[in-house]
Amino acid sequence: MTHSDDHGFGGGPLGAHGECWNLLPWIANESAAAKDVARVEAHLHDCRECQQELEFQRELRNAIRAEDAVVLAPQTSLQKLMQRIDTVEDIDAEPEVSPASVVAMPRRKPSLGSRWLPIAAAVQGIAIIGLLAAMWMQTPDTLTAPRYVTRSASDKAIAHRPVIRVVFTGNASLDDMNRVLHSVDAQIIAGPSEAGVYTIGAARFADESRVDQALAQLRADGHVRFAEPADEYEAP
Amino acid sequence: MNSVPSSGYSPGTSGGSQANARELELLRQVATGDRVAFKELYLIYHRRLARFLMRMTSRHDLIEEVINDTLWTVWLKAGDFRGDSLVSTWIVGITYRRALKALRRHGAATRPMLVDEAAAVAPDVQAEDENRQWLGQALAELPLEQRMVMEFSYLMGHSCEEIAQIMQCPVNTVKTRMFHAREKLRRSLPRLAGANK
Repeated sequence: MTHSDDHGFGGGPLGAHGECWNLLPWIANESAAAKDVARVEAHLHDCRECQQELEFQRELRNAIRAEDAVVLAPQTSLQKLMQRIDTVEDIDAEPEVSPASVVAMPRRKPSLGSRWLPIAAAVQGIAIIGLLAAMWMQTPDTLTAPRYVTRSASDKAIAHRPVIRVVFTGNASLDDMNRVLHSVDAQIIAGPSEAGVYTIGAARFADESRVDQALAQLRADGHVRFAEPADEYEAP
Repeated sequence: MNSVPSSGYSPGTSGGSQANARELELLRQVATGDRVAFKELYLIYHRRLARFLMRMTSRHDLIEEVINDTLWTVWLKAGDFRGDSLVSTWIVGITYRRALKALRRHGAATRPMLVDEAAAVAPDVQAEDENRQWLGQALAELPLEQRMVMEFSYLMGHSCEEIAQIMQCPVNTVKTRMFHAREKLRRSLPRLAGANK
């Protein structure tokens, strides 16, 4: 049986039968408004076609709800998210927060669980300084080479693009950081902050899908502990 | 900050308006940085969203990413929630958009393995109910938007108007998508459709 012509989808106006027929899924899932329920119930009394269709929709609903997909245990995922929140709150607590952030939320105190971050950042900072010193002693010219400057210098072309905040793992070397930045074609705009946060940007981040790609790439990298867009906005 | 929405129906929960009122209260607390409230909200939604995402994407590797991105947004934007919709409609809408983005990024997926998935989870149950196999295959053949209307309605329990908010489309578009989904399923599921003839 087909309802296409009868229910107005072929261009004709909906009759009472067609309107009721269209509402049946939401009668079946018990979410329809009371006035619609009353109207459909009145129609159902005399319409065997709609009675059968409602029964079919109820069968469908029961079958769909009966399927139980594999569901992950929530605790591990929750722990990861809370760690992400801890890290970002440390960023927000810093005075030199990037103006690119448009996150609108009440100020929240940094959590006790994230106090180790400044220590980790300090250790990483010392390691990086050591590496820089070693490089300078061995090949001082490389420090003035354009390639290094490109990875860390601010660029007007990316100044107003979305940016990403990145925290590298404690064992990430300068080469690792350079490789990571090269992989997403990004530059360091600011950082490291007290919490070890680098703000990175790229001209291609003007395209939202490229930001997503870069985020996925960064998060999959073993030397990146955290990567988050700084101008994320989701309309409520 | 928030105002209580006029609609009292809360999909996926038996408590209806009470459940929404509780979630609204949790959201208020989350907006002040209350982590205990946030964890409670997370646990309320994790199973619901995981089931939905598994059916929408068929990809375990995306579930945690999308759920955490969704709840991350909830954490950030709880204070901006105006109460124009149910809390669940707002959160599921974020999930839907996040999932679409994730699918675009990782490559779109259909649901070709639902039968195998059911067999892997519960072989005895699957053997006893062949209709599930037919249903899984029939749903997999629907275009994503039509399948999502069906899932939002029957898996999540949303009303037509709520689905329009979640999918950010007119109510009539939801009805049209549902119309086509019903017609295709009726043709694909003659046993289920014929069982009540």
